[in-house]
Amino acid sequence: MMLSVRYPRPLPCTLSASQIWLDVVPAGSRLDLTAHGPGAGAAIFSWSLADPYEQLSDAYTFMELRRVRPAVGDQLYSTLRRPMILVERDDTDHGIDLLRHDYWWPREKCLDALVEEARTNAIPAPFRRDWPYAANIFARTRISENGDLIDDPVATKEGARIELRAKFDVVVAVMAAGTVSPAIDILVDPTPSPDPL
Amino acid sequence: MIERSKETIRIPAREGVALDLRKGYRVSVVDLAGHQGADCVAVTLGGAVSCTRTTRARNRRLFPKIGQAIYADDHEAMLTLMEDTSPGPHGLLVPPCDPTMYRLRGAGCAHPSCHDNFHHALARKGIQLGRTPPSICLFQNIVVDEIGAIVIGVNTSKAGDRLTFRAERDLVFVVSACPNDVFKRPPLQPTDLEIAIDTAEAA
Repeated sequence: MMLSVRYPRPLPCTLSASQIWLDVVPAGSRLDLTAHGPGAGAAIFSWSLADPYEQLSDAYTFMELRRVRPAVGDQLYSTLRRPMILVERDDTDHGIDLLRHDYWWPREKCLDALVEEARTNAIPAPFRRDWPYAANIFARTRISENGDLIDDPVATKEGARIELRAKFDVVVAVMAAGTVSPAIDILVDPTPSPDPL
Repeated sequence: MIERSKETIRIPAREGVALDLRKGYRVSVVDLAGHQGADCVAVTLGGAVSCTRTTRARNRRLFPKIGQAIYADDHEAMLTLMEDTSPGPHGLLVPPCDPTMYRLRGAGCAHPSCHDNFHHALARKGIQLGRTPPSICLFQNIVVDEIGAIVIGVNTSKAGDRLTFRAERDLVFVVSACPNDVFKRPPLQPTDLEIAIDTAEAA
C-alpha cells in the first residue's frame, strides 16, 4: 500500500523509500531535504499553484542556465522561462540532477498516489499524463566525451541537505527513491529569505 | 497490402507540418541549404508524446546512435534512427524556441517559433497538447563540455544532409523549419527543409 505522510501536520516529516509528499510551498518559503544516509534520493516535481501547466522544466533550465548541473545560487526554470526555484544549499556538490529520468520502482504507483493526494486535498495539479519531469536530488549524471550518460555516485552522508527556495507560490511533490533506500526528511520553512526574491 | 510509395514535402523556412506515419514508414528530414535546424516532435492518437528525457535515459546517451530510438513518455519506442549523413551533433536538451524567448531577446511578440509551429500543425490534425514537449532538435550544434557547460553554435550541417527514422508505431510526426534568426550570424537565415516519406517496410 502506498502511504502518504503529508498528514498529520506539522512538518517536518520523514519519507521512507517509495513514500510520497505533496503540498503548497508559498513564495519565499524554503524547502529543506535532508538525507538519512548514503543512497538516499528523491524525485521532485513542481508546478505553479496558479497554473499547473507552468511546470519545473529540465529543458528550460538547461536553456537559461546554459549548464546541465545546477549549483548553489542557480535558479531552476519553469516552462514559461520564469525562475521558479532557487538552489540555496547543496551539501553534495551538484546533487541536483536534471539529466536522469525518474525510473525508480514503483514510480507508476507513486505517481498514482501523488495524483490522488492532490485530488484529495484539492491542490491544483496537472492531469496525470501531463505530469512534469522530475528533478532528482542526491543524484548526478556524468557525460562522457562521446555523449554517453553515466551514473556518477554521489557521496551522500547522513545529514546532507539540499535547500530550495520558491520564487513564487508553487506546488511541490516529492517521491522518495527506491524500495530500501534511506529516508529523507522534508521541512518547509516559511521564513522569507533575507535577500529579495 | 499497402502499395509502396515515396513522397517528398517541402517545408518553407519558419513553418511547420504534421505528417501521418504508419508503423514501418521511413521518414527523412533533409537540410536543403545547410546550417538549418529542424525541430521535431512525435505524438500518437493514443496520447503518447516523444520524450527527450526518456530517450536520453533509455539510450544512456545525449542523442541516439544509429539503431537507437526516440522514446515516448510511455517508455515505448516511437522512431528508430536509421541514417545520419550530417556531421552532427543534434540536440535533446533544450526546448523549442517560443514567443517568450523571442520577446525576451528583443525580437518582438509576433516572431514565428517552433513552439507555435508544433501546436498549429497538430491543431490542423485535431490534436491539442496540454504542454509543449521539448523538441528533437535535428542538426542543432549543441555540445556539453567537460564541466557541464552547454555550448550552442552555428549548425554545421551541409546542403543535402539528412537523418532518416523508421516509425515504430502509427504516429503523427511534426517538423518545424526552425525560425530562429536571433542567434544566427548574417548572412545565415532560416531556410527550407525537405521531408521524404518511404512506405517500404509497411508495404
